Amino acid sequence: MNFVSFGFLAFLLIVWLLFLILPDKKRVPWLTLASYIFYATWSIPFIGIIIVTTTVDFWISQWMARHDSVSGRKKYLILGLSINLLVLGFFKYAHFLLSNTYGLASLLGMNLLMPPALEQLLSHVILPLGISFYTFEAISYMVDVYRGKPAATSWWGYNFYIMYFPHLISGPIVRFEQLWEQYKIPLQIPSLARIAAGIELIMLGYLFKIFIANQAALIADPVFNHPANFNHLAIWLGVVGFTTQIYFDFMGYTHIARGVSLLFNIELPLNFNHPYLANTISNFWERWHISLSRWIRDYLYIPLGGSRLPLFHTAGNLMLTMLIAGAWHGAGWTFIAWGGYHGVLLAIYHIYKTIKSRFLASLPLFNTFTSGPFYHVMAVAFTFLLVMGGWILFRANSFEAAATIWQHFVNLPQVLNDLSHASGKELLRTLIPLCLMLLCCVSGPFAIRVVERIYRPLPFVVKVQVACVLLILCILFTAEGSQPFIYFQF
Amino acid sequence: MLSSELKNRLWVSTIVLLLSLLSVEVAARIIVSWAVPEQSASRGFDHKYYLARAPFERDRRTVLILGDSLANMGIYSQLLRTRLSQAGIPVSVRNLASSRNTPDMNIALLQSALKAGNHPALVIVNINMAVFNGYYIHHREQTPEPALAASYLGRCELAEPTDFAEKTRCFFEKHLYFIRFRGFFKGQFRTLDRTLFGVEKRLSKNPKDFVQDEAFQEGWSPSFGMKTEEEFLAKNQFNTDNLAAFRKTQGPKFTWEPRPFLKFYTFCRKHHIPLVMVLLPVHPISEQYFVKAGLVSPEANYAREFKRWADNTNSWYLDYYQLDSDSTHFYNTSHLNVLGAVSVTEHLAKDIVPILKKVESKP
Repeated sequence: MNFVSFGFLAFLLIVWLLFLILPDKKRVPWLTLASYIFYATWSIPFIGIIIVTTTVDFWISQWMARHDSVSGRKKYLILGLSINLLVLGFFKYAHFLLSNTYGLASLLGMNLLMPPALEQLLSHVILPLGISFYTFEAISYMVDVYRGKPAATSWWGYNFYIMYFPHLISGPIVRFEQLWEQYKIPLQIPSLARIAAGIELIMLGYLFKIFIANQAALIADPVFNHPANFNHLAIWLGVVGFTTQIYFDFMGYTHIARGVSLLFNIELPLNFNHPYLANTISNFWERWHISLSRWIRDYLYIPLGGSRLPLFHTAGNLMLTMLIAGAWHGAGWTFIAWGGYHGVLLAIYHIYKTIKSRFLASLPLFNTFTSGPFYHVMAVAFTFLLVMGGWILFRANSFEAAATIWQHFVNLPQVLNDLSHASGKELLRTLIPLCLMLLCCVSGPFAIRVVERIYRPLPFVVKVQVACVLLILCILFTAEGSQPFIYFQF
Repeated sequence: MLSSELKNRLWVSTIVLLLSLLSVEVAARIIVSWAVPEQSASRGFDHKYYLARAPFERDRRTVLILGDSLANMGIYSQLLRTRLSQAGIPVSVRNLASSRNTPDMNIALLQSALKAGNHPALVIVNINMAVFNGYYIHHREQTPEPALAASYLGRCELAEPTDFAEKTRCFFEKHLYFIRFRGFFKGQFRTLDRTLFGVEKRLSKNPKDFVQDEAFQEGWSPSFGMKTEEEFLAKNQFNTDNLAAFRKTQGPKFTWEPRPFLKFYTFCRKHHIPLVMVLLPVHPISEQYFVKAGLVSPEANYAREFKRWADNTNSWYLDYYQLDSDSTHFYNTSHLNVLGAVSVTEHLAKDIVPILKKVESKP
C-alpha cells in the first residue's frame, strides 16, 4: 500500500480511530494486526516469510540470551545471521550473483551457461517488500542481544518490532530497544501536542513527495532515460532534478512514517538532518539516511576496527563498508559503484583529515582560512557537487548512460556555452526550475523557522483549514497516478 | 478514554475537513458542467463509451464495430444496417470505433456494453499494423494506453474485480468529481496564465467542438481524394508514419507484437462474442511506409497469422486490404473517404450475411 494513496489514508483513519477507542492493552495487538493487513495488501504469501524469519530470529535470540558465555552466544549469532543473510541473498542477490558468475566464466573462456531452468526460476523471484530494511533490523537485534542487551520477552513483542507498519517498508531502520522502550508498557493515547506534531510531519511528508519529489522526477526521468538526447545544460538540470527528487522522496516518506507513528504514540528516529548542507562527505553521511549510516557504523565499520587502525587500513574498511552499503541499495553494479564512489571519497577525506590534524592544524593561516564563512560555503558547495556526481551512478540505467551524463556534467565550458546560446524562453525554463530545486535542497533550516514562527502560532481551526487545503491540493496533484517511493524498491 | 479536548478537536477537524471537501466538490461540479473535461483518453472515446452503454434496440440484434479511425471512417454503419435489413437480417449497427483506439480500449468498450446488459450479436473489429506495432507498445508514452490507464473510465473498466485498491479508487472517482477530474483541474491550474489573461483564446474555444468531433461521424470526408503526393503534403494528417511514407524514409521500426490484440480476442471468446476481424484497405502510398518499415505488406506477412486466429467457430477474418487502390477513395494515406467507406461497407454487408446467419442458428 503506497503511502500516497486514498487506500492508505482510509486505512490510517480506520486504524487510528480504533486505536483511540480500544483499551490500552489491546492497542499493540491491534497495531500488529493492522501491520499484517498493511503488508497483505501487497502480498499475502510473503507474510509467511516474515512470520517464519521472525519466529526463527526470536527463538535464536532467546537461546542466545540464555547463554552467559560469549562463545555460547556466538554460535547462535552466526546461525541467526546466516539465516537472515541467506534469505536476503536468495531474494535480492541470487540472480545477480549467478548471472555475473556465469558471465565471468564465459569471459574467461569457460564454456559455462546458466541452466535455463535456474535462469527461469531466478528471473521469477520477486523481492519481498521491505526485506532489506527488516533484515537489517533483525540483524541489529541479534547482534545487540549477543552484546548483552535485553532480548524480547515475547514473540509478539519481537514481531511488532519488525512488522510495525510505519517503518516496515522503507525504514527508518530502528533498533529494538528504541521501540521496545515505548511499547513494553501499554500504549497510551498520544498527547495533543504529539498528535499535532504527527499531523504536521505527515503534511510535510506529502508536501515533499507530491509537490517537490514528483515534480523533480518529471525533469530528471527523461534525462536519465535518454541522456544522449540532451545537451549539457539539460543534463545539469536532470542531475539537479534527481538530487532533489531522491532527497524529498525519501525524506517525504520518512516524515510520513514518523508522523503516522507519532499518532500511535511511538517515536521513530530522525533520518535526515539537512544533508545537502554538509561541509564534508563524512558530514554528509552523518546527515543522510542517518539510521542506515549508524547501522553501518555500529554493525560493520566499528567491528572491522573503526578509525583506530592504521591510516590505510581504515581507508580500506571505509571502502568495504560503503561497497556493502551500495550493494544493500540494489543488486546492480551501478549501486555498488555508487557505494565504491562514496567509499573512495570517505577514504580520501579520512586521509586528508589525518594530514590536517598532524601537519596543517598548527598553521595559523590555514586555521583562519578554514574557520571562515567563505571556506564553509565553498566546502558545502563542493560536497554538494560530489554528492550530485554520486547520484548519477545511483540513478543511471547503465554504466554507458552514467558515463554520458558524467561527461556532460563535468564539461562546464560546454554548459556555459549552452547557456549563452539558449533563447530567453529556454533560459527561463531551465534556470527557474534549477534555482527552485537548489533552493529546496538548501533551505531546510529557513523552512523550519517559517513553520515555527508562522504556522505553529496559528489558531487550531486555521491550522486544520491549512491541512485541508494541502490535502485537496495533494489530491489534485496526484492526477497522473501516485508514483511509488524510490526506496520501496530496496 | 479520550479527553474532552481531544474529542472536541476531532469533531472540529472532521467538520472543517467535510466542509472543505464539500466546497471543493461543489466547485468541481460547477466547473465540470461548464467546461466538460475528458474522462478518458479522448473525447471520441468518452462518446463511444456512453454509446456502448446506451440500451440496445429490443426488437433486433446489435452488431458493434470496434477499432480505430480506419474503422470509424471506413465502415458506414447506417448503410450496413440498410443492406443487412434488405438481406432479411434486421440488425442494429453501432460504430464504436474512434481515433487511436487500441485493443485495451476495445476491451473497455465491450466491458462497458456488457455491464449495461448489452450483449452484441457480432463484433466487427478492424486490424491494422498500428494494433500490432511493438515500437509503439514498448514506447508506451507514445500510445494512448497510459492516457486510458490514467483516466477514470479506462482504469475502472480495465480493473480486475479482485483489485481492491483499484476498486476503492474507482469508488472515490465515481462519486467525487474533484477526484475524477483532478487531471483537468491540474491542467487548468498549470495554464492559469492563459485562462486568466488569454480571453480571446478561451472565447474562441467553442464548446460545441465536442459534437463536431469525428467520433460522431462515420464514413465521412470533406475531400474526394488526393491524387498526388503534393496534395497529401498539403492536406494529410502528418503523423510520423505518413510523413515517413511521404518522404520515403525509414519510419519507426515495426516489430510484431500480437499480445494486446490476443488479449482482446481472448476476451471476446470468454464472453462468447462472435468476432469478425477486418483488414481495411490503405492508400498505395502507405505501402511505401510498410516497405520502409521492413514489411512487404501486412497481408503477405501476417495474413496467415490472422487466418489462424480466425480458425475458430466464433471468429472470422475478412481481407479487404487490396480491395480498393483507387486513390480517389481515400481521405489520406490511411483513411477512406465516403466513397471508399461505401465501397467497403457494400462488400462487408455481403460477407457478413452468412456469418450472421451462422451465428443466429447457434443456440
